[in-house]
Amino acid sequence: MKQRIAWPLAIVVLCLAAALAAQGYVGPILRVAFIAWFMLLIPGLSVLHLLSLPAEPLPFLVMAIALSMVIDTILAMGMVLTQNYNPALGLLILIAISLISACIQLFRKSKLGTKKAPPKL
Amino acid sequence: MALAKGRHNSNSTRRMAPSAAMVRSDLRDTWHLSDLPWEIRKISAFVQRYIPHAVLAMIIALWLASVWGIDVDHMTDLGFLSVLPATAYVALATLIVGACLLIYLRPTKNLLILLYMATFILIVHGTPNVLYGTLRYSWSWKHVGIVDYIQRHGSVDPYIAYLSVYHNWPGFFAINALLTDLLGFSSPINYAGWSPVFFNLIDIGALLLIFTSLTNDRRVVWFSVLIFCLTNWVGQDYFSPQAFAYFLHLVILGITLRWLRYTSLPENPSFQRIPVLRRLAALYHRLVQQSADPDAPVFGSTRQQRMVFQVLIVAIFVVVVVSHQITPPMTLFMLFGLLMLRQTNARLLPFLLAAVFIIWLLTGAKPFMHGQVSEIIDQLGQITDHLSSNLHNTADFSPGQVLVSAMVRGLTFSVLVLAFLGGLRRLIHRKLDLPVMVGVMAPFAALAANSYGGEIVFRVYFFALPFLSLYIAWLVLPKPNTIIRWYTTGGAVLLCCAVFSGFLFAYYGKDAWNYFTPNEVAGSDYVFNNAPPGALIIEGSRNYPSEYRNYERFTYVKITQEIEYNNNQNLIIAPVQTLAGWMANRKYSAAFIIISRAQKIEVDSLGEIPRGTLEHIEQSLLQSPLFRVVYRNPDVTVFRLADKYDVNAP
Repeated sequence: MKQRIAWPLAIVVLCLAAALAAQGYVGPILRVAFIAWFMLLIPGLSVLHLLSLPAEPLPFLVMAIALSMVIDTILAMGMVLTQNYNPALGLLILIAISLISACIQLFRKSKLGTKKAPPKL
Repeated sequence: MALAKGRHNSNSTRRMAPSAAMVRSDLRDTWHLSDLPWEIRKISAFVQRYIPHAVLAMIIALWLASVWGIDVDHMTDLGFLSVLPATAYVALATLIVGACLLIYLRPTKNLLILLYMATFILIVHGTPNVLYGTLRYSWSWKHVGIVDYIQRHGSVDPYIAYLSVYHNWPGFFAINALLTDLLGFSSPINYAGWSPVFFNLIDIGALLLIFTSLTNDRRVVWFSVLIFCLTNWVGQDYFSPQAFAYFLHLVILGITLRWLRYTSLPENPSFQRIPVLRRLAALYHRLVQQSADPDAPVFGSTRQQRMVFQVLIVAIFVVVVVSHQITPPMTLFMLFGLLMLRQTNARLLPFLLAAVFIIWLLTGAKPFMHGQVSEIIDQLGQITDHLSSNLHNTADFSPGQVLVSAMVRGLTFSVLVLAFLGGLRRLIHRKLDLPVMVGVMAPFAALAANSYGGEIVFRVYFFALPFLSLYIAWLVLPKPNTIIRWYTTGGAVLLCCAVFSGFLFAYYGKDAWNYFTPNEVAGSDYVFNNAPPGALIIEGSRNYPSEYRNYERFTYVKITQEIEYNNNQNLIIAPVQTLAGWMANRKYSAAFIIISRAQKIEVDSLGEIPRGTLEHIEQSLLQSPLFRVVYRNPDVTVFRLADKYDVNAP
């Protein structure tokens, strides 16, 4: 149970931190730290947790970074190509994606992605 | 006492005809001084355990002490190498030796080895950023300019006259515009200098994904990563779309090689109908089965997981396609190669990805492609031309650059030869390693397609490098479960140090002009802050902090390009009259000439135009009454026409 709520809770906290940082409630250094980590990891991590993938730590982390970049880029491209570029809206959408994924993970009945693979590295 | 006990044990075990493993275990007990008091044993274990940490801390301290206070303004034409003190080289050599020994002796200490790798990247790729204090490499500044455009306009203009290629592949710039605004910066210059560190670190993660999919031998995995770091001299890790797309390309390969492979090669029913194909297929099956590597891991995946992975790959590839021009074909070459050799079970995936690529070329990148199609078709198959377009005539180079060029060529050639020998060794041991072969060979297909502005050879090397590194690791390392000999370890250490010496020349060798002084940045700031829209900016060469702000408002002319490509000798014979004529053109709202330190060094080092040309032009303009100096510091001079000749003067 603890493990089941740990990740969604961490994602919610990091989303909150990113939102506060973007609004300027923290100093510039913390703002960089929170926003950069959020954009680099959280959208991909939250979506990957929903998928039924082998739970190997290293590949999971690498794919989370790649998927976060993909989500960020597709979102930014969408705003740029439709000429609706709005960074605040972009962050809001990223936070929404992460929170919805965390909620689904929290409230669904069976947890996917639990196929434990032998550690390779 | 300990020795006596060891001898006694040794004798007794010999009488019992023990196995080699038992004897080794017995001797190890002897060497561990197990009969000493537990306090001493504990201290000994503590020291042994933390020696690598202590060595790493000392390396960092030595490096910091070495580079503290270095005056980078005194670089010669050997670049950053010329200002590094001997102790810095000692620190780097110790780091590499330490990483090698760890990989050989303690390959299971993943975190510790990773720490060594991260330190290496931080030192090698982070130090210039800290010491220079300005963004390195002129193309980084141009990329900042595209992000600046998106921040101001909220869109891109695929039909824009200048740097339109970036507006047709804007993925990387769009994400950076979003990131810059969310971080609260006015420009990505604030963080772009850390791009080499960032991209190299995440590339290590993607490489581990690939290598652990191909072998279970951790020594091979880590040594391949180390060789990659030591031989990745191409410098495609700066603030650029290619660095971004390369990481995603590696992740696609990693996912494919890990989870989208056949666990055992299936029969192809369509081949069974034709006797010749059936026999060939049977032969291929036998070959693949006989050459299977027992150390290669097998990662099973369910049908549902395979679907998820393929969707992930398509999503990642979409971003690669909208971000960079040459990375998608490289990914496709590799995936089609794997498909042809039946090394992936994702049979439709390469076709789907090819369709995504073509759709983008016909839609999003259509404005750029429209003018390029005939040129691209003309270039198809011109392999010799593409090869020769990458090789400069070193006769024009300065002495330092001749050495740098020789080191670059030597390093590249050595890597290819070592990898070839590694592949040969594997074949002798009856290991075919088909995915690795595809990884090495597939990028070479790009040689037939395009010269890519004279860079294609470097890109081919860059994309093949992960798999070349793997072959080199297989060449150097002993087979798994064999005793490590001192000479194999020593050989590996020497090899690493040798290729790293080449890397230092190749990576840092052009920093005399890739580095821009704060004075040069101040000069560029003056021009881009004060030039009105529609101004003409005449640049000594493109090598200065250029086009990073309001870039689309101006017209750019490069003196070096005019002389080298348009053969405009008037610029050398009569620079004052020629430049004054250009600047008096009424179609420009204003005109500036900027000549900087880095421009002069680059021109004089590479000899693309006669040495001293920019200095000669600058001196001519300084002495001419036709021009006035509007900004000057020791590294930059900015000219405008004197008021009475300036048609646009207020």
